[in-house]
Amino acid sequence: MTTLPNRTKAPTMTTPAIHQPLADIDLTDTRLWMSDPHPTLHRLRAEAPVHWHESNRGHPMFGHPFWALTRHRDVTYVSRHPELFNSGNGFQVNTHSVGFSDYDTFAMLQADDPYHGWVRALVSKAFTAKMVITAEAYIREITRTVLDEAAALGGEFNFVDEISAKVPIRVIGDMLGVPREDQRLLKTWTDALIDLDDVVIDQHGTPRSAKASAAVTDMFTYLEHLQQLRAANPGDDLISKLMAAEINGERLTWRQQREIFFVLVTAGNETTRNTTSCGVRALAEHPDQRRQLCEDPGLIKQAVEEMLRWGTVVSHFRRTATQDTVIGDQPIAKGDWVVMYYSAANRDPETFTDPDRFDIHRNPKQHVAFGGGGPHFCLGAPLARLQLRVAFEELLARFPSYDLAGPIRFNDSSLFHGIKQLPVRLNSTR
Amino acid sequence: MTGLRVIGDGDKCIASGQCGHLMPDVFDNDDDGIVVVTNPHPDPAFAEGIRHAVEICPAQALSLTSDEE
Repeated sequence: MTTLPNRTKAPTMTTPAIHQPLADIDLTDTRLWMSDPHPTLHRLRAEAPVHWHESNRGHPMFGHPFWALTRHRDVTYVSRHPELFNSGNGFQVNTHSVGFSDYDTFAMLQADDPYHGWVRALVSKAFTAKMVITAEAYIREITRTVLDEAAALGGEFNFVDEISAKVPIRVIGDMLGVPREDQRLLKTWTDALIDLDDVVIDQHGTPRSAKASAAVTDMFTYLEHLQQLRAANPGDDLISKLMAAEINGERLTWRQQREIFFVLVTAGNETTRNTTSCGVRALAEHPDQRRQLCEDPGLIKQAVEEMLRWGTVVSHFRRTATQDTVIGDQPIAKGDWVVMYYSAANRDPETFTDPDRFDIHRNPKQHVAFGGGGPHFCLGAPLARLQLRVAFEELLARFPSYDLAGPIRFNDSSLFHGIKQLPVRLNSTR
Repeated sequence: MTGLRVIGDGDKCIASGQCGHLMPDVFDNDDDGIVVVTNPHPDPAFAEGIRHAVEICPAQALSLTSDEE
C-alpha cells in the first residue's frame, strides 16, 4: 500500500489562482478546500463558467472528467431540470467511494423518480415546515443543555465537538429513535466517513480508508440491531415508521431502510454542525455584526441565511446529462458529468453584491446552500434553519463575547467543506 | 371551457421557496416559508410554469388540475 500523494498532508497555501493555467486547477484537491477556495472559484466563474475539468489521472478516486459549474444561474438551472440532468448515475465526483462498496449508502441522494419520489414522500412527512415549528421548545432545551455542558468545561475547547456537533446529533438521534447513550456513536461513524484523512491505495489501485470501512460496517450492524428491537416493539420514531410504511403496496426492505437512516444521520448532523461552526467563526470575526444580533435577536433568522450562504458547507453535488443539451452556450453531451459548485454559486457577484463579504443584513434568499432547487432540495431545510436560529439565539444571549482561541482547521474533504477545529473561549458572563 | 386550479398543501410544505421563486404571480411563502397560493385560478398561459413548479417541488406539496367552468 502507498499513501495517497498530496491528499493526506497538512494543508498548505494554495497556489494563487491568478497565475495558474485553468487546466491545472484541481477542484478535487482537498488542500484547496482546506485553505480558501474562493479566489479559484471566482476565477473559474469569470473565465470559464462551464469549465471542462479533466479527471485527476494521478488520483484513483477522481478518475472521471466533468463540467464544473460556478455560476448561480447554471447551478439552479441544472438543479431544476432533473429530466435533463439526473441523479441516478451518482451525485459525487469521486469514482470510488472509499469503504462504501458493500452498501448503497447514499441511496436517496442517488435516485430518480419514481423511487426517489416515493422515499422522499415517506420521509419528508417527518420534516415538514409545520412539523418542525412544533419542535422549537424541544430543540431549545437541548441547545441549553449542551451550552451548560460546554460552559462547565471552562477555558478553551473545540466548539465543533462540544457544541456544534452535539445539538444536531441529539435531534436526529431522537427522531430516529437512537437511544441517547448510543448517539455519540453516530458522530464517530459519520466523522470517519467525511474527514478522509487516512486514505491509502491498495494493490488493485483502489482507494481504501480503514476507518471509513469500519464505520460503515459498524453503523449498518448497529442499525440492524435497532431494526430488530423496533420490529419487536415499535415506537413513535422514524425507524418504526419506515418499517411500517408502504409505497405502492410494498414495504421498504430492511436494507433500504438502513440506507435511508444512513442518509438522514449523515445529512442531519454534518451540515447543521458545520454551518453552526461557520457562523460562530464569522460572528467572532465580525464583532460589530455580532453586537447587532445581541441587541436585536430578531435579526438572527436572516443572519442564519447569510451563514448558510457564506459557509456553504456542502460544496457541490453532481448530475449526469440524460441527453445532448446545453448549459449557457456550452454544448453538453449525453452522459457527461455536470458538477454544481454551490460554494461558487453562493459567491456569484451576478446574484450577490460584494459576495465575499459576510453581511447579516443581506438576507440572501437566492442562496443554494440547501441545493439549487428541484426534487433533491434538502428536505431537512426547515429543521436546519430552526436549529441554527435557536443555537445563535441561545449562544448570543448567554455568551455574547466569546473569542476564537486558536487557528481553525477544515475537514480533509472537497465535498463537506466544514470546520473540524474551532478553538473557542466562551468568556462566561454569568 | 376549462380553467386551471392550483393547490398548495401547507401540511406537506418544507419551505424550499422554489414555487414562489419560479411563479411569483401564483405562489408566495409566509413568514415560516410555507406555501401560499395567491392565485388559485391563474391564466392558462401560466400552466407550463406551474407544471414545472409542481414537478420540482421537493415536498410534492403542489398540484395542478383543470376545472370545468
